[in-house]
Amino acid sequence: MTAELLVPHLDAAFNLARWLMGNDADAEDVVQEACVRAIAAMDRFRGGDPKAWLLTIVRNGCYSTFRQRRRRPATDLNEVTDHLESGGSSPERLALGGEQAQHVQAAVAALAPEFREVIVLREFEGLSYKEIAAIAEIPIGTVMSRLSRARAQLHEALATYQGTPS
Amino acid sequence: MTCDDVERLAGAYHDSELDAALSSDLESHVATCQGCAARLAALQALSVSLRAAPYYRAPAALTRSVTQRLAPPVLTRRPRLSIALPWLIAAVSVVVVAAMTLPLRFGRSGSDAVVNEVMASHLRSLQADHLVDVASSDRHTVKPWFAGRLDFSPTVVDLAADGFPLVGGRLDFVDGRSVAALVYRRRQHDINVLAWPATTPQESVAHRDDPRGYHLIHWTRDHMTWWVVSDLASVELNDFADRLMAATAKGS
Repeated sequence: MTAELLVPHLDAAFNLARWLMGNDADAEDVVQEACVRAIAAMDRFRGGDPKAWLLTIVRNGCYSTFRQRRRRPATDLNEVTDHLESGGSSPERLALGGEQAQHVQAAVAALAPEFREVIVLREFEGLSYKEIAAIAEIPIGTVMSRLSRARAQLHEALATYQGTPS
Repeated sequence: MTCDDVERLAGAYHDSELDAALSSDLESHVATCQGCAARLAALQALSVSLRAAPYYRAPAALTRSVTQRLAPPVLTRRPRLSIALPWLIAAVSVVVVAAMTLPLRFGRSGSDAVVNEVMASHLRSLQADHLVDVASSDRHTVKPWFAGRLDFSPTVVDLAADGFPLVGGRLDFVDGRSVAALVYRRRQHDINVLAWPATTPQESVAHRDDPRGYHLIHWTRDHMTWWVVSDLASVELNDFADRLMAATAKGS
């Protein structure tokens, strides 16, 4: 009745937290805490989508941690080395993709968090605009405009890496 | 549909978020407009490129931690010899001493003798006004009341928001020692939570039913033994136990 509902969504939860926090340890802390909160607040969850519900709590946990630390979350390319060096999670795709994967990762990591999260939820999790709007607690119109800007930024960044004119 | 419209709607079309009518209009336009066709192709190419990015799966340790800390009541027992061994040695020496002095003092925390005592404690508490020694719904009043009366400090949590208000606390005597009894309530049903320091290693959650219509839930974790007793329906009592477990988890 409790943790069972959440276990299938731990990968999605960790992925979102990892992309927002920029390192494994922080992502684990956020997801752990989010699970405790999710289970404690089971009452308020009545037959909705447990994945979206957990991801909302994870996202709030990430932003809450940012505020507590009073510093900008990982946006600059220095954080990329964290991504590349940290073990623990599965960077198989990174290894397989080689240089391309590194560039893509760097490009996504370079996005501001509010743009990064919509890209993660749309492109990596395949969630609908409605689901993303619920998780990020923004209107659907804002989801669309942030996606549009994020994609434009990514397109330009990746075109540069690939050496083709954007 | 104009090129400006396509600029606005291309993302939504790419994400299959446009309704049939708009999608059809957009496709008609794109069929005859190279610029807009390129725009859609670029979105497609970006999505393909993004597949090279890592997808970070939850580390096994995290999944284990979540399932074991917060799992539903039915668990298999985990034999952890590295933790059990010092306990075994301590338990053996304690038993030897106890056998010479207080033969009835220690029992395995889930044994039948303890179950009977927990039931008796619960039934006695329902009589007359034996329910609580300190009546308060405020855990900041109940917890300190135990200081000086017990050789440990019980964890008293507030579950009122979950529909289980605290009624108060009581001293009781179970398994050869003084224990904390915390009383919660759901509607007309009193729930006794008995807690005391564990003398056995971690135990998975166990359920027992008393034929008189009471349910008991028991677990040992973080060096504390917990018993939950009530005539509240099983499903609701399990819910209470889950919340209690989560709220009293170390570091929560």
